Amino acid sequence: MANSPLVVPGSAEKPTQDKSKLSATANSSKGATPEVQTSNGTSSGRDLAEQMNEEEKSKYVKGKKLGEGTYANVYLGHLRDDPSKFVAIKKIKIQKEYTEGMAPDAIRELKHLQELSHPNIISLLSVFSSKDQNLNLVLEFLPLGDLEMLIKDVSGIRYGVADIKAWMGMLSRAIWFCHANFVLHRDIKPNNLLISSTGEVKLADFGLARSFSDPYRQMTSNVITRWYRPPELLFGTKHYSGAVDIWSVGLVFAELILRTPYIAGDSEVHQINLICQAIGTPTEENWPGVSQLPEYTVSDPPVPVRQKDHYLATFGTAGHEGVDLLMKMLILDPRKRITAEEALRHGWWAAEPKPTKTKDLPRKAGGGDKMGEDLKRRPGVLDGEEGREKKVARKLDFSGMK
Amino acid sequence: PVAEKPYEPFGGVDLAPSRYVLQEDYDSEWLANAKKDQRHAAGGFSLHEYYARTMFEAFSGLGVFIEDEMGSKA
Repeated sequence: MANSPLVVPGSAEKPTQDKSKLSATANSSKGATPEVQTSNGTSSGRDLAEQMNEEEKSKYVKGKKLGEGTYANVYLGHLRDDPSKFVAIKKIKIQKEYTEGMAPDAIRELKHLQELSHPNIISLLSVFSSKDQNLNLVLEFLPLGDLEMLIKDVSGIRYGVADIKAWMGMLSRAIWFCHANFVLHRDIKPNNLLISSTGEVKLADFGLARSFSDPYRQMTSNVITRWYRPPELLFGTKHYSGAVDIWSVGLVFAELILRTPYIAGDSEVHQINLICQAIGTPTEENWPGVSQLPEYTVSDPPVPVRQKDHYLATFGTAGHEGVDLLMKMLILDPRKRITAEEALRHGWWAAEPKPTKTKDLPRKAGGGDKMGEDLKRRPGVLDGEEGREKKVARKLDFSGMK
Repeated sequence: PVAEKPYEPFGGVDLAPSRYVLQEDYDSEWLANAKKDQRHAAGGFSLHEYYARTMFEAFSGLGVFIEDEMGSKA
């Protein structure tokens, strides 16, 4: 995908400076070794790359800390030329485990976000390194929090199926775009879905993302936050596909309707048991070959796969078409699960009611500190499992910030 | 007032390839074992995704001439 020249209409929200992005070298160096010559012809000792880094860094003014975590600190920032244009600066910390180089989460995030430009994926505006050699990612500032905040605020936020359809449409487009560019996100969950000032949902946190793998090449099965992890990963498969993300999307859909996580296991074994009860027990009949997977274990007796009436009883507010789409996202056998492209072609989008217009979607004020929390979290971890830093971040108050 | 446009699930983004047609299947000796491997299949590994990526990589940028494009910008 390094060679995908994708131009997307509607991604014009970025400030114009982002043309300089990561490839500022292309403008000036024509491939020659960049080195600055002083007047007497000797090297100044500060090379061109360093100068360009300084230049990039000076375009932004770092402000308040929005959040602090083990993996990154997040700061509010703004353009030096236009203080009304806010950005979020994610400063990746040097991690003890990875003293020999950059942390893998940082590399993954950088590598994939710089390639993906879509209205429903957070924009990476710039990258620079700071004095202490820390990596700084300049991201688009998304001030209205995340989908989890809206789901949880049962007393304060009311939303209906038209709103769910609009949010699900944006999430489905985001994941379709990732897969069409051969990227697996591998950590989709409500608090990684941030909301822009216009109400647009944006997929963030690519710290666990990777490109589609070649056949025979193993991938780790230890990805995706447990509650959103599909059965094939719980069974330890090393060869999987975009279907793993679709399962997570299905569970976000279910959670939007129920306003509580649908399958919330407190261990991997518990997670499998809950999947068996909620959806059905994976067996050789409904999923040929499943018992060959490295960590296949299910308890007896098997629960038959749930049929549509079962889903209608729980998720009936989504309507027949909505329930049909949900069921196809939660098919146990990943080969039979709906793909992102098929999901976008599903009849639910055209069925009544129409999706709510983005500007009319329910919203919550004061989500700036939440963005800080979301971005600094280590990928793949549930909220509360990193409780200590969380409390620190909670104390920070940005209510005065617009 | 202008008639409201119908909802477009893809948001107006079209990523269909213009220089090649992706087939359902491709013959390849190298892929023979992957095609019949139970663990690839049961884990959900998608040969279709693999075909889509390799075909894209083979054809992307075929009409891009870097020197011509960059020559005027330098």
